[in-house]
Amino acid sequence: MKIRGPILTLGAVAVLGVAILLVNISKEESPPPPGKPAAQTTTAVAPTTAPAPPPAPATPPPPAFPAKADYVGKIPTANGTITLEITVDGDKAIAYACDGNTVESWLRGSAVNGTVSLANKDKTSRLEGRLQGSAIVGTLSIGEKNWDFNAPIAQPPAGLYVYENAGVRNSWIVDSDGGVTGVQRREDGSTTPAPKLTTDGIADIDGIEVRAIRVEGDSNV
Amino acid sequence: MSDPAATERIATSKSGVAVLIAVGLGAVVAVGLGVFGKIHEPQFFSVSVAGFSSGTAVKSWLATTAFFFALVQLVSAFMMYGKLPGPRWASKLHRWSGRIAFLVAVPVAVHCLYALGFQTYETRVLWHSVLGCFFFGVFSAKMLLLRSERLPGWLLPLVGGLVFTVLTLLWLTSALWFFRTFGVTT
Repeated sequence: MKIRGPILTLGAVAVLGVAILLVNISKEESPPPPGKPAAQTTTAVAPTTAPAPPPAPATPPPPAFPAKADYVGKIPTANGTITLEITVDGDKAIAYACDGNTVESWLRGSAVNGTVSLANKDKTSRLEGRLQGSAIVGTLSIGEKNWDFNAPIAQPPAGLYVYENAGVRNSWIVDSDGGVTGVQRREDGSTTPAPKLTTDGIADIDGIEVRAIRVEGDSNV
Repeated sequence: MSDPAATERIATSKSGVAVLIAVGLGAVVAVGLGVFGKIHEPQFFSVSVAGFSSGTAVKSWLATTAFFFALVQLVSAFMMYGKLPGPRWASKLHRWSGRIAFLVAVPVAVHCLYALGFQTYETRVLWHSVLGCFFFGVFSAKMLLLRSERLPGWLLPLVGGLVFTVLTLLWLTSALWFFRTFGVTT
């Protein structure tokens, strides 16, 4: 006499939910290779081994950033790897993302309560992230595209470096393995791979040896 | 047959128990999901659908699909109760649109709970977390209520309306936010 349809629906929903959950857990148990890509060269067009999804952080997220910290993450995309660096200083943050070739974006904004909310000047790029363990996780969007990212904390010399002269801006990210990814932007807005940067921050730009400036969260880049 | 008033009383108390059980189980589901979401360490990944840029994009589209079928639910419910002119198969439409809505909503919920968890770091996120757990609780309660006979006439429309309202709020705090933030993207 009782109506069985709703119970079947409820059961089907439960079975589907548990099934997807089990698939997830089964993927979790085969741990991804630890994200230790070989040192990057300045031309990062060739996609390096994608750092697989992060393992579960061991500690619950503390709600505040360190006073000063750098975070570097790699985002594998269809057209190569985008390297992302976020520099937090007090309640401000600056982020730079580039593919070491022609794509780059500078973003700035706030870093409060363990979340960063950044945008570039014309608001075509955005970054929303939050502290998870000692890494920042979130979403980066450049133009029409957006990607999820995970950027673990990085110690100097890893960080963000810039050298600007005569309207030509060179920006580099040094990652935790000492790999360097950078983009040079000329006065006319065209972008090319940046010249090589040594780990002590020296670059050879058009035959002149220069020292790149390390970017801090409250720098005015 | 002898005393219609007595029969009615018994029926009423019976349906009262059924309502209590249904609502109680719904509450267990809602609280259980919330506790899982809070305790489980977010993994930030979940099985995804090919062709989308991110898990969040997939979810936004699935949620939008669910919301579309929820609108069908609302209209077909009005038809079933004779508030709108409708075909004879309105109840079938209601049943199946509901099932499809749930089919697409479940992967979204699993991704939410597994990859992101119950979070409170922002008003939107807090509301979404609370409503998401509540939604599956109300849904469970409604499915169980459907089995009971002699419910007060206002009960199912009320619970159904609640399911619809909560789903709408869930969509507003997630998919709409996503589309507004990142553009209507796949």
